[in-house]
Amino acid sequence: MGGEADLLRAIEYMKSGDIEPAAALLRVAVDDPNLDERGRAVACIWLAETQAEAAFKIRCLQRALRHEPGNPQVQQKLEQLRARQTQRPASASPSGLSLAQAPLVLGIDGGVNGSGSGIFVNRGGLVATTANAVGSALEVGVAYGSAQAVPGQVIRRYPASDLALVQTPVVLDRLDALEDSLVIIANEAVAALAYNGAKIRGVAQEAGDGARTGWLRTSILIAMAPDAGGNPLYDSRGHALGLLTRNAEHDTGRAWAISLAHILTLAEQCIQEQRLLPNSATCGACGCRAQAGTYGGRYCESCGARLPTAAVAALDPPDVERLAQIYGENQSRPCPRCGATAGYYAGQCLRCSQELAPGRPTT
Amino acid sequence: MGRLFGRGGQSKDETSDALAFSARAVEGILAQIGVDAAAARMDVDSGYGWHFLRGSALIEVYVTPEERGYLQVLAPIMHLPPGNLLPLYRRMLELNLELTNAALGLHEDVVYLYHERILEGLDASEADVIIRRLARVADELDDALLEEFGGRLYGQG
Repeated sequence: MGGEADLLRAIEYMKSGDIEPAAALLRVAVDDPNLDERGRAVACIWLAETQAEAAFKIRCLQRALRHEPGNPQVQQKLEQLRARQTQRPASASPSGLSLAQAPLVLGIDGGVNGSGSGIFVNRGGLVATTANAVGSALEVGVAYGSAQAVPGQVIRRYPASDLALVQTPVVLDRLDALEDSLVIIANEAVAALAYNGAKIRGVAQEAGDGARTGWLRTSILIAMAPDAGGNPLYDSRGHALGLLTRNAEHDTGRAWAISLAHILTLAEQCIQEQRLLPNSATCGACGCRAQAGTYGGRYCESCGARLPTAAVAALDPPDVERLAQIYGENQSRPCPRCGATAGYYAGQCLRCSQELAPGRPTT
Repeated sequence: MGRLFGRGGQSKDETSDALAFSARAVEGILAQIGVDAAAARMDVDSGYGWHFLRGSALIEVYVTPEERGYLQVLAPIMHLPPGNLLPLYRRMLELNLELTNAALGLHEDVVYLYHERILEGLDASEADVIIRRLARVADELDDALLEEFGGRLYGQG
């Protein structure tokens, strides 16, 4: 088998809606030496249809063009996909499920630490919750109202702030709770809401400590926490002030919250990041936007964890030069002993621990 | 390798009778599990060391010069690849959490699997179990790590 027979079989699978077996055959077909260039291009074009993600489709079609340069249909499709990517704001909802007003609290399901809560932070359906609530999950359920739910894609985690941002296919007409809510007075009376209906009252104030920028001290005891975290804190006027976390002061057991101002800053950074790195993917281990997969790298450049298969460009041969740049493995002098350019720490080669002569530059 | 990991500040002159006693005990244990202790003996900076093959794995055994005798059993696995280090180091730390009675470590550019325990109460049967187990795990890990991250099997071209 192999060659044209398998390609035809894959196309039959696609036509009958059996995506998985089709994708498995197509992944082989795109590099099958028994196929000619045209056949491999056709395999790439069909492979593009096995996933909904635009970045994946683009990579497949780019590969198709390499096999069959100048194919007008592929060129046109590529242009459409690229145009769609640049037109659509990074945080905008793909399907546009519209809600007139943001619910006060959202439910977050699917994280390893049990159900959590969250809140919309922009009208494009971006949800903020805690990193603790989503854990390493890349997809969660976002519940609102009494029983409605939408799928959410975890697009970024900020472990230092215990914040996770989840994109939902929701468009909001209004987001009143976020307006005029960035100023917090000392010991402001707040209520923390949980999607499970719990409401905990307390007070909150800015941490007032440079090392804890973005955090709020609350009087709420961690033992009272109603779920895995991400409970929006509202003041008496109904303005959101932050999200309650499962972090607490060791001596008092009082829970920390993430301030809304900090959340909005990070959300804006995240949106910018997505614009700048449109083909990046979220690393499940550290939550960063990893670029390595775009160039065929299998590991997150930030933490070294294996990237989700779908985030790795399986089609393209790895772009070794670009990956070396992303992984920071071509920016140091070669080690005088082992020759590796992996870099140095405290004057020692990261590969073989050879000590450099004092004062010798490492780059 | 001729040196110990994180131990051995004293010279051989300073080693106690207890250490020599421990070394004799280890040699007795090695003999009981079929190792020619005299042939396996290594010249080390401090303490005592032996090396021998168990299956396809090279095993190094050290007795460290401390107040209480410690037995270190090590299996050098592979030389590090020139790149891909961050994911490899991460994988090693993940494996450390998964492994029982063994851990991965690094000395210069060589990845080691090792086990350590106090000598007191160690008998030949337990030493045999430790060594066999370490050899088996080393044998499993070397191929898997090499396949995923590249590099070179320890002592091989």
